[in-house]
Amino acid sequence: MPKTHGINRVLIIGSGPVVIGQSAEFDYAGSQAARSLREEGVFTILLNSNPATIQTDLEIADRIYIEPMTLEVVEEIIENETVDSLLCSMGGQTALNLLMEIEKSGIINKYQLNVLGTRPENIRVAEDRNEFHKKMISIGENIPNSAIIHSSKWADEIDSIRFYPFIARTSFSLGGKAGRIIRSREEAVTFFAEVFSGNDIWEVEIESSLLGLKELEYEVLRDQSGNAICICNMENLDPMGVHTGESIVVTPSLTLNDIEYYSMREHALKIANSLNIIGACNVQFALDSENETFYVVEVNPRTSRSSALASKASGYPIARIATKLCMGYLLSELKNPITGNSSAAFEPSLDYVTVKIPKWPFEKFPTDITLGVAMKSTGEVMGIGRTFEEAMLKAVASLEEGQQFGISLNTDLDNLEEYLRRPTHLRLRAIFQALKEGYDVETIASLTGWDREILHRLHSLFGILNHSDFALDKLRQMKELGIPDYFIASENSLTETELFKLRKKLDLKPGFRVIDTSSNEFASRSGYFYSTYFENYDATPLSIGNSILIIGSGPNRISQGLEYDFGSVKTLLHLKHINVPTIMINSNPETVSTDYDVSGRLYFEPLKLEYIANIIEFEKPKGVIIQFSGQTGQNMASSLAAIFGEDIILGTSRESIENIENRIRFSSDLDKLGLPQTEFVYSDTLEDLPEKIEQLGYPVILRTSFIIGGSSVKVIRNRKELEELLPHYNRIGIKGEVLVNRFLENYDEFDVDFISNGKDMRIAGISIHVEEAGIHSGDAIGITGPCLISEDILNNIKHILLKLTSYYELKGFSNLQLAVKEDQIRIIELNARLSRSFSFICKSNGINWIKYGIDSILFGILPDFQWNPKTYSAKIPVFPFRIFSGEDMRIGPEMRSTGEMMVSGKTEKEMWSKIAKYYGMNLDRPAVIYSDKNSMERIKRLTAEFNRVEVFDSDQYEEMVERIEFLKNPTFVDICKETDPRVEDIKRILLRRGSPIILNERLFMRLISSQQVVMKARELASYHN
Amino acid sequence: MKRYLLLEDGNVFEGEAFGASIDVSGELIFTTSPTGYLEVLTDPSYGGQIVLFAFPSVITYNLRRSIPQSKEISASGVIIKETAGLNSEAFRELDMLLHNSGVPGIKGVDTRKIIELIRKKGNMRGILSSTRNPEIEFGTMNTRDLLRRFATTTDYHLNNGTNEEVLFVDMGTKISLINQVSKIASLHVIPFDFPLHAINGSYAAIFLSNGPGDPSDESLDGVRELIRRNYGKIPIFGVCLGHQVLSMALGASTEKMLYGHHGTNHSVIEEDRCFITSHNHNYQVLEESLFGTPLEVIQRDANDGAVEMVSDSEKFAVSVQYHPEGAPGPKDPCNFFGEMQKTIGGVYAKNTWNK
Repeated sequence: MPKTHGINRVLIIGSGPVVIGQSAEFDYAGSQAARSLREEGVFTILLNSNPATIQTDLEIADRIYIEPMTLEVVEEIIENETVDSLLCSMGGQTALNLLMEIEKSGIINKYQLNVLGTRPENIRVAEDRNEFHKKMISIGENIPNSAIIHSSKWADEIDSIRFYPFIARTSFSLGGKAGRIIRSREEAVTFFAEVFSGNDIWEVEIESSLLGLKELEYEVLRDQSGNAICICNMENLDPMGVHTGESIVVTPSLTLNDIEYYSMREHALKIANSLNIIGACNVQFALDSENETFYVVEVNPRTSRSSALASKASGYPIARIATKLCMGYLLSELKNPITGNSSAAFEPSLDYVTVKIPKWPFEKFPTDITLGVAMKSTGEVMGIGRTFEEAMLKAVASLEEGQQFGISLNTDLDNLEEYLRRPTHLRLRAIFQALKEGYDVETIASLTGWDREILHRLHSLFGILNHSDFALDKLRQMKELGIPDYFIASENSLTETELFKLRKKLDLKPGFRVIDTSSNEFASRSGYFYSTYFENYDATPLSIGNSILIIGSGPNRISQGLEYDFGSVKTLLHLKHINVPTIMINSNPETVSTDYDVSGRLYFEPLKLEYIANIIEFEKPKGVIIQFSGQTGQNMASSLAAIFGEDIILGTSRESIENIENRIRFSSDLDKLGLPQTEFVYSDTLEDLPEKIEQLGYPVILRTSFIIGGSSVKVIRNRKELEELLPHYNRIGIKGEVLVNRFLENYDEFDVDFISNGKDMRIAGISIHVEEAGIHSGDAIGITGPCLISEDILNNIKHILLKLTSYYELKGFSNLQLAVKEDQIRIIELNARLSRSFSFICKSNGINWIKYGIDSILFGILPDFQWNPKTYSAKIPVFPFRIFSGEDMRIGPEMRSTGEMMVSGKTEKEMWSKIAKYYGMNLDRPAVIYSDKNSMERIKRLTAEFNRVEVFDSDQYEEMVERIEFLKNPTFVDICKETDPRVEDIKRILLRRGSPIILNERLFMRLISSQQVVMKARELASYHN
Repeated sequence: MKRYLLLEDGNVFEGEAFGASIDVSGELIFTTSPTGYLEVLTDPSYGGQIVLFAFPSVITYNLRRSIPQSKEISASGVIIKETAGLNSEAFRELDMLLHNSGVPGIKGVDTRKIIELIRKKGNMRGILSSTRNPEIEFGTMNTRDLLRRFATTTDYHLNNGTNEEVLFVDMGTKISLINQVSKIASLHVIPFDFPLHAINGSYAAIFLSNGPGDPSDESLDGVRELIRRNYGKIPIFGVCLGHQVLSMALGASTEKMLYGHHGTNHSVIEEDRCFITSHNHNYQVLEESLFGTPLEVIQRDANDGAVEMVSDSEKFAVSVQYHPEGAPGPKDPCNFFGEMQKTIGGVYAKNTWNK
């Protein structure tokens, strides 16, 4: 059956800003979908508000809309573009929720649209827990007990609950956001009292949690004739009670017997059939092996984070094939693209094991590290090995945290049993500590709920790691097991570089194997590889001396996410275009860069020296590009140069990177160059720190080098704050080497992205923070556009850039942060790599600066133009405070936002109108302002002309609460200097209700003074001419 | 202890020994099934073969959680990749079982490389030995011996309480297969070499089981004669070897495949439908040889077009090359047993093989 008639202009809906529970995996899904549609000659239109994505690039889709993802915008696009079909199954829960809104609004009928894939009425059944349960019962599936608790009579209903522990959740949950485990009646009373106090939730679904059962997922593809296959299954090592996105997951399952494996598979297909799924879906089960039963937990009627994982784990391009199925093709009509000669109607067989471990931002949100049914992780890594042990050790290495969260024999957790019982990111370490302390597998199994088979394997592994004469003559055995160099090196007091050289001498090196979906049963032309020690090679080097190797950015974390993947992917596409062979290395299964045919060759490996050096040794590329891997690559430059020579690093040299990254050297270089910077002192030890600060005077910013996301950047206003900080430094292992900068009050901050060839440079873009300097550039609103910067300042900036470029011989991408006040400019920071704002800059001015940056690195050529914006754009950060609700919501120099959205306007007014709308500051929405007592009069005066804006101070707390309750969900503005826990509570409730919250006075003033004009959704390219 | 795998083409792989300490030879085949290691090793169709598991960590659960397909280990030898994690109870149990069954195993060899050799050169014989210069020969397959070893020696009746009785020809059946069929009707189980004159009951149908060896072997001539005599009188069903023998009895021929299908992930295609099925066959019915026979191809393998199901709508001959009983693998995706039940109950209809 060929493509369904009438699918010519398809609107693909993306997933919006990166939030916890929804990240790069949907960029991957949407990009594959666009490609799959275009292969069929379909005109693709893509809506996504997130400028960091690869899918919002004109190489991916025919028309791009980076606009707010609202019903009005969708309708505007449908009308403008004469859309005939919608594809909403590739944009996560955001797109699915939008589809439900679109359906309700009648737009589908009005414009006679095809909804590609699973029909909305079937999605509703899968998403609404009540309907879903009814459906499952009707086809004879086992489901957990459930009930609905109502706000009006919860106190009575609580007595009828017979199944503790249970999960309380609301439908349409994104990343299980509203889910929570309740273990006792007592907990239930507290929970419902809190939930129903907000007056915005009327009922809560509760469901027997099946706590402790084994959790399995099956990834299903189904076509419109009802043919269905199961791409792979996934075994969660953590039992039920931990969200699948928070679990360590093994693919394929290791501990299921044949009957369990295939019964659940059969039921997964039956369930997909009952919901008439077209395309991809994910079915979750809870398995009770003892009683030979299993329960259906949930169905995701769309591609999910698990689909991305399943795609990368199996090699089967799920989103691409799912899109074809949505277009009407049948499975049997399609070829498996990875082999090119076998049918797509085929279940991949694996001859390796993959292990996924989530990446959690607990260094930034340390209040509650317990894992549960709500997601907290920002990303994930996957390790591939021939055995479970190798795969798991690679996954741990991919976390890039060395010993901190990984395998360590020196863990010293107090309360070990508690850490075994309670799921946290430290569980794996706790298991190793328990093994060291002599716990038997049985005890660990009953505390953690992990399968005994897995624990037996960890026990064997521990036996080898803990060998008393841990010595290099066992190197071969250790490498065969997959024990990483960094671990062996630290046990033997070597550096990783020394160990690499030693292995080279002993000829202990890995082979590289292909991922081919068929265990080598069929020949494949796949270029998707992983390493494993002491096996044969499945390939010869791609192109010795010519290939360019690109190091990716690893797991998505706060401050290092898909915006770097944008750089990698655009580079791969550009180099493919000019026939340069490319090799990609990355460890993050969600990304587009790990799509096996985006690059000439893909190595799915940890971004650690060992694995990268092994690949360089084998491939002998012309050079390595580290500018797209955030801090990860910067930190590796010196080791790579030590092994392979200075020339291996393409772009800015290893030496310059070191000088720039070392803040002391950088500061004295600036002095030497006569460039203005903030006054600073340097303290070798923490003991000297207070005195050094006194020399400079408070307030100050404290920084330590080589830290991702500025996680040790702090503003300190007085001695008292310093004394509170010092114990924290001790705890996280900072012993000194602190750079103290004077904190610049009431400066503007400029973020300058530029490319250079060692001599000359071109400005790619400048974004100006709306907030005052001192807010992390990832957390500030950045705006860019014509005439925002005076001619003098711009010339001054150019002068600084040229000096820096020639002094450091900067090549490729760089980013400079400046503090500006009137005609004064001071340098805050220089990064000799791609910055987070770069994808925003590319999207806002419609120029493929990645291409020009790469040309400047490889060929030394620069374009004959630079930044000359024709349009106004803003980058608005999105914060995860709904999930980390115990955290202080104030923004500062430490980045905590997970993602961003972009709005643009033909005029500055239009852009501000769009920002104001996002923050609920348009005319029809009331706002409540919480202010300092002494600013009160000033604020009142400023807002006097707005009759829906009301100002309260701390004395008027009760009145304010009353007013908020009356207004339900007003925009809330907290510009009070002092933190008040009661106000934090209000913010928490308002966040849950979806109220916009503004936390910065400057931003608020800009919003309140911006004039509302007519806004239009425009395709991206039309902003640029 | 070291053990070697020697291939007919001269390649030698060194690994670690497990299981019994003896030297064996056998046909080398690989299976891609990720589960069901004991189901595979006890499946009589693997008789005389050295089985390589493509999935490296296949032994990850206890023996008692498996469903043996015969009373003994059928395979001659076992090859697995992993060595490191094999400290577990599951592995120790299997090790002991193989040891007691006189079946050697080798671990820690590059299984992916061996698969590549088989894929490129076709089926080979191999030797598992404690030395590089074993005293035994690569040998050849003797179908009659294999059939004798796995098929019942005497006939017997399995009454499931229904009046219909099916004549079940045991050529080395899997336990799961005979269990499935006995759910549908009572069975009179006979060995493949049961004298034809001794069969005189009135049967609702004939069922031909799976089994080891070459379908064209003369030891199966008696079964072919049984088929021809009853063809057109009562429905005849076959699975795997049974499918091949049935097709041959009605005029088709078979050939040995380059390296066969062994796994639980193969798709078969019937018009616009496809089904994932469990495969274990080294021989196939030649599609062109079906021309002029009463049989037509209903399903083919999605990848190489191998004949996977034939039927004759006029006279009730239906057989599948794959294993609808699963074990390991998906169970009855095309409702083979359901349709069989309908036929035996007299409600046969053409082209109703889909759910």
